[in-house]
Amino acid sequence: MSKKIIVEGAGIVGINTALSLAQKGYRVLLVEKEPYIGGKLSQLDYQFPNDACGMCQVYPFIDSDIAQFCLRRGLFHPYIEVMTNARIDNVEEKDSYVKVTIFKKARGVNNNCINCGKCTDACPVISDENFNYSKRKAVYHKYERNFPDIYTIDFESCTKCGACVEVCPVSAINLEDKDEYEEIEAEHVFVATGIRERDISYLGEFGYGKYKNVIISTHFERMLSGTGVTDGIVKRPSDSKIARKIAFIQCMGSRDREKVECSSICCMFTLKEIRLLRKSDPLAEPTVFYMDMRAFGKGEYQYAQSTVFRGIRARPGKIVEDEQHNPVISYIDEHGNKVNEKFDLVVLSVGTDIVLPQHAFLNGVTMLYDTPQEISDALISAEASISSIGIRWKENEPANTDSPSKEEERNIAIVNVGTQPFNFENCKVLNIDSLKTDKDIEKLKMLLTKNSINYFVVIDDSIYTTMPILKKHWDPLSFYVVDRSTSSNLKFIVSSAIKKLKYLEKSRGLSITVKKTALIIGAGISGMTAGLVLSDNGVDVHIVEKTNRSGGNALNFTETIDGRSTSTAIQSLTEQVERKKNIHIWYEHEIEDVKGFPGSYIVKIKGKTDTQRTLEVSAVIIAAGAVAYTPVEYEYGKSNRIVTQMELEKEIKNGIDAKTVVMIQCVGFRNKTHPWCSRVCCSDAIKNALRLKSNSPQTEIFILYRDIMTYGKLEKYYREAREKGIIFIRFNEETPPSVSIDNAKINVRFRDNIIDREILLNPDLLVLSTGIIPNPSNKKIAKLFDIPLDENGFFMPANIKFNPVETLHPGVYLAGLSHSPRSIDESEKMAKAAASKALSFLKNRKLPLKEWSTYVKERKCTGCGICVNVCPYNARFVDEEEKIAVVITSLCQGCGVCTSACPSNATELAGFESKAIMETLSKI
Amino acid sequence: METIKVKDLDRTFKYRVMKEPGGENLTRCFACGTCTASCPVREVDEKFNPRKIIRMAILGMKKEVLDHEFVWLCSGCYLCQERCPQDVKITDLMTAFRNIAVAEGFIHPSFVAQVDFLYKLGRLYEVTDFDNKKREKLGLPLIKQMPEEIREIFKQTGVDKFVEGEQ
Repeated sequence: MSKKIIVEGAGIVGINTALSLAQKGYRVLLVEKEPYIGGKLSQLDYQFPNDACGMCQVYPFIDSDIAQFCLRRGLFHPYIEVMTNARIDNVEEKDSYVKVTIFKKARGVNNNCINCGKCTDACPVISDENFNYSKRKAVYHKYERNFPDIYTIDFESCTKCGACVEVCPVSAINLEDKDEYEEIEAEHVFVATGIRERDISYLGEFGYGKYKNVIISTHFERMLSGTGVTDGIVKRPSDSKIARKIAFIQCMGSRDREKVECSSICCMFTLKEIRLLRKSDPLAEPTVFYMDMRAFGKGEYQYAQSTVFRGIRARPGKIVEDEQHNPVISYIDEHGNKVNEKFDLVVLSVGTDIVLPQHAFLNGVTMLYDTPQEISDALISAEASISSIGIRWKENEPANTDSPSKEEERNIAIVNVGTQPFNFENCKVLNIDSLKTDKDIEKLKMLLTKNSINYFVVIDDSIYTTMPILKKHWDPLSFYVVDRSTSSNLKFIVSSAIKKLKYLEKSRGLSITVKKTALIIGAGISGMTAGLVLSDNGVDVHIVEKTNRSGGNALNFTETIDGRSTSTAIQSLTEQVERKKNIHIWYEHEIEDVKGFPGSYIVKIKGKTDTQRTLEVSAVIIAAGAVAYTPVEYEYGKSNRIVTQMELEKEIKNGIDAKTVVMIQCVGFRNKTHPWCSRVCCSDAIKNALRLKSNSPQTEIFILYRDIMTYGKLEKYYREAREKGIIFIRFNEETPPSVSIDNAKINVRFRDNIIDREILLNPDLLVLSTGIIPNPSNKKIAKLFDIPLDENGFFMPANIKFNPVETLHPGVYLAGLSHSPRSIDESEKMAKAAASKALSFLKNRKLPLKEWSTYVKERKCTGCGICVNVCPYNARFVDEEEKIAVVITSLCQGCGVCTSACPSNATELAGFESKAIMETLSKI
Repeated sequence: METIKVKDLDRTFKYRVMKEPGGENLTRCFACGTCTASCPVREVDEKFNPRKIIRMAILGMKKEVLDHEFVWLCSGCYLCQERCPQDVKITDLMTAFRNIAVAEGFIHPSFVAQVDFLYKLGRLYEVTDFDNKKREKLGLPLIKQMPEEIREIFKQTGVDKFVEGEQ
């Protein structure tokens, strides 16, 4: 067998990467240093910008049948082995592989653990912990239903008194457990060791660690969490009184002299906290101290606009505590007034660093990201990083389940797991100690065969672990799992489950053969980058490009902020793409019509001079780009000295003769008409300003801005621009600068709040930073592929946070500006990520049928089409020849709307057939 | 207040300040206000606002920066400099401003008075008979007014042009 790939760190990125690799046919060892998986994300209940979680959706779409559970709490895939409480100790480079030494920390608790919690009750040791920022025992688990679902001993605080050993009913505890080392030969190591809050002890004036009511943001999130120690109520650590007047201070430990970079997530994180806070306590009074509100991602501007808080544009000077332990913040408002204000609680929005292990830069080791970033960006970066290792087409798919045939007589039994007895009159009860190891499964298989049982109800304490294990070995429709711990009327539930098993029918549906072909819409940087990844993996690629040349929006730029030439990038990509035999670029072609469904699209394209052509493709990547906004603001078009940032960029290399240049940011954007931040304009302005300044240092440049969006590593360019003498002055949305032309002289009038004076400049050049608007063709493409657009007209991904490149249709992916404004570098990454996801999809020869999908009883169906109209997922159509409704199983989400709409009871939801449900309910 | 026009702004001023020791990081300022919020002088005198002074200097409002008493108000406690997230050496910057002010002929009246004293007496206060009698009792040597050396230093360094009635 080939060597495994090691993914280091089982946070969101590690889990997602492990799943992606497993889907591509690699065997993965997921190593996590903590005793439980989930990383930073396990501390966070909700995500911006939709205040939802949805991590379960990280599971591959087409395998979604295994995704019944929250991923923070469980991870099951036949190709993934999870090793918790272990870390990579050493990596040795070899010719074609790496030798990895893994340090496995003693856990002290083995798999016999039944999660009863008696050990924790008995443990006399109490120590500090940084999950809930509270206390815990020496034997503990993180929260209910964590993964793995066994307890852990913290041997650093354990006194080995033996109290836990005495009370453990299953002898799962071994206080003499020893640390171990294991050597593994791995094909590659991918590192996702996450982020770490910065040590802010150098910021003594803010009193963190000194004053009890000054806390950090993660601590605050844990207070708001229903699973935290304060039950979702924000209480002051000093006296447990409810905190109402709460101050959030941004940029603690970033954008300062210790760390130049911006941590890029804290602004949005704080906004989310405020929304959660206001939901939990409508009387709360949040105040945010900040310099720039960096809400630059998709949907984030609107999120920030709809968040209610008092904002103060200042970084406080110090915090002191009064006698009642109220933190008092000294700050100066933008107009120069000095204020000392008392708060109940202060939350410091602490910046982060990525954790960089020693072996990060060895050959055979790849970091999945290089800067702290928001989840969707981190996932894109990670997926892009694994795109280079390609796919294993030939590796076998996970073994199929051996389902009992339908005609068989149904012999039903109850499988009672554990030591607690269970008696039932009308049904056989099989007792088994546990259902965790392969041995247990073999035992159950034997028991079932011996009693000729083919359907069974399982009663267990830990269904989250049991269910996926059982699914690997039995057809999910042949068993039912009942949770013993949460079922108050166990006997009733069990008898209902028996009824259900007796009457449910097996699902059936269309099976689709997937071909190794893909369509890419748009030959910009994104489209070509994605095309190359697919082509390198043997996929036939058709790129459809509306214009007569490749390059897309990048043609409007000369170089990126880090000095990379865009024309060279376009040229090199174009040459590579055109050399590939399996890539065909259709210049001056547009898509006319699309038929089919995920996995099998028939696409009609038409060129200017060409007749219509038909392409058959299985995967689609939408990389149709976006367009630059043409301003109507600030007298644009009335003088040749008033230009857009893009027009300036083209002219810079020819030399600009200007003594004074004024740039205005957010022109036409971040308002009611265009309620989003275009993300790139601030760094574009800074890039051009720096180049103007280096060409002619005596040119005076003013940048008038609302919030400077130099997130992450871009912050260093903002600093460089200031150091070079470029002047930044902020204005409010309500009081923008006013521009007039007076005898060819440009007047720019604005107020500088810091000096509280109006300034009138007469620039030789006025540059307008305009944003990015969606491609007008988006509407047509969206309709053809039935993909939703967001309210601004960009494409909507399946989940804005956890599935940024996927759409609701398996096999259709998003890249670049189609999704939202982003830089060239970010577009490239996204294109690679989209291609990588498409590859995983194309690996499925046939799309598997879903368990929970609807099917049509053909004899009863009249072909009336009511079900087609009500289906929210467009998963049905009427076969006009046969006059019956057909289900596209890959689209069906099993919601069941059609079953209630069907007037002739011809449509059924597998597993929830009318008869099975009616029988189940008959006892009530 | 009156609108500031381009002609009121000296675009070379910020570079001049940045050449002065302590002024190097002037333009790094991103106007967060940490300095002013930390300043003990601001507690007692509303006029004093380091953030505003820095912004005025960056804009090139040379005359207002130099011909105003606030650069002279800094008590030199270094709190702002210690806390500034962008490493603008604010306390040293105030010294830089003062040095430029002096070189440009802007000087605060209280400092002119001090220079006068030094010129006339050779020290910052006048030694009277009372002082010397006391010293005699304690067995200490008597003090003489010896402004000559100081005057020579003033002459050599050009400070004498600030002494009233000497120009």
